[in-house]
Amino acid sequence: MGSRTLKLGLSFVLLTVGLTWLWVAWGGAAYERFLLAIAGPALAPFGVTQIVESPAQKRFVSLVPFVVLMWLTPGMSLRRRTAGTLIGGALLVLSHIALVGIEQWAHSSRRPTASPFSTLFPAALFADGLPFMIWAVVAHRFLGGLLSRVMGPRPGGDAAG
Amino acid sequence: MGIRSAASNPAYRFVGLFALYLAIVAVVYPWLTESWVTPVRMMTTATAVIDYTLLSLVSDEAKISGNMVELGNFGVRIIAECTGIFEALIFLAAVLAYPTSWAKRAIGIGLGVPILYAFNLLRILVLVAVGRHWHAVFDFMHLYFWQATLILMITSVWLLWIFKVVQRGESNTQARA
Repeated sequence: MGSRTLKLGLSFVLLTVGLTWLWVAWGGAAYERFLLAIAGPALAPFGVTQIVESPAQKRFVSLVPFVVLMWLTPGMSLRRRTAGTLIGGALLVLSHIALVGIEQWAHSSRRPTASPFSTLFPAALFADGLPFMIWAVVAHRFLGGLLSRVMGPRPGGDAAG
Repeated sequence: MGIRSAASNPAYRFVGLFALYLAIVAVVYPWLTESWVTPVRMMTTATAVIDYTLLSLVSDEAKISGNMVELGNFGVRIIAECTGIFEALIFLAAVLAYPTSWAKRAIGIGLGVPILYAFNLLRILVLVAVGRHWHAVFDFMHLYFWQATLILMITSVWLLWIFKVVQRGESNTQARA
């Protein structure tokens, strides 16, 4: 293992530990207040008046690994990292609001499936995978580099870009 | 960027396919688990038994009762989410979406899913030990070792597969040619 990989791995660990610590100490509760402040009216029809401990609530911390991926992936400009973090963060916030609503819906009699699990699972899995998807879009040059090395330059394609 | 140029970008194509495969497994998995409850129960029981066995190697305080694994006066109940199924399904979608041969995808799934499962077993062991001996930091560790590191773990194993299996195979082919 090269020293660069080791340094990157260590940075990942330190940043995730630091940010998760902040999240547990203060960020999580502040984020829940923020969600209710911006999405209270949208969530009210689902019967959500407060954020309770639940599978949806536990997924809010997915902002942490997303920020870590955005800031530690090599080869991105500062502008791209900042814009990606802000836009991607906003998308994650929207996904969390949707997940809270879907969770409430899943436990109501109006759910579309026989069990709450079948309604909630797709939304929860999507919420888990979303940070990875947003990262892949924002870091598409890094990812594109990996892909083009495997696929090779295409005739007349955008390999040089 | 137009739709055509976005579609020709391999990274965007990967993301599109990843979302598609994730949607498929997200719908199929609940249907499968509701149709065949036994394999899920077997998986959670197996996870509990493996964790208990590993704990009992290092401590005589380890106990198991159903899916409850205990160390001294602290215990955790192993549920379906503790089996690493979320990680495995997301990883599966990422491997299937990546443009490479089916043989390399099979290697990725065959090695990656057990690695993620092993990480999951380790995660539970650490959580039980922390809960028993350092209860004050249990909430932090639970959050850290579940959601905060979930996507990083998947990304790391996925990149490892690309670098060690996919690209190595490609470079060997190019070297022979």
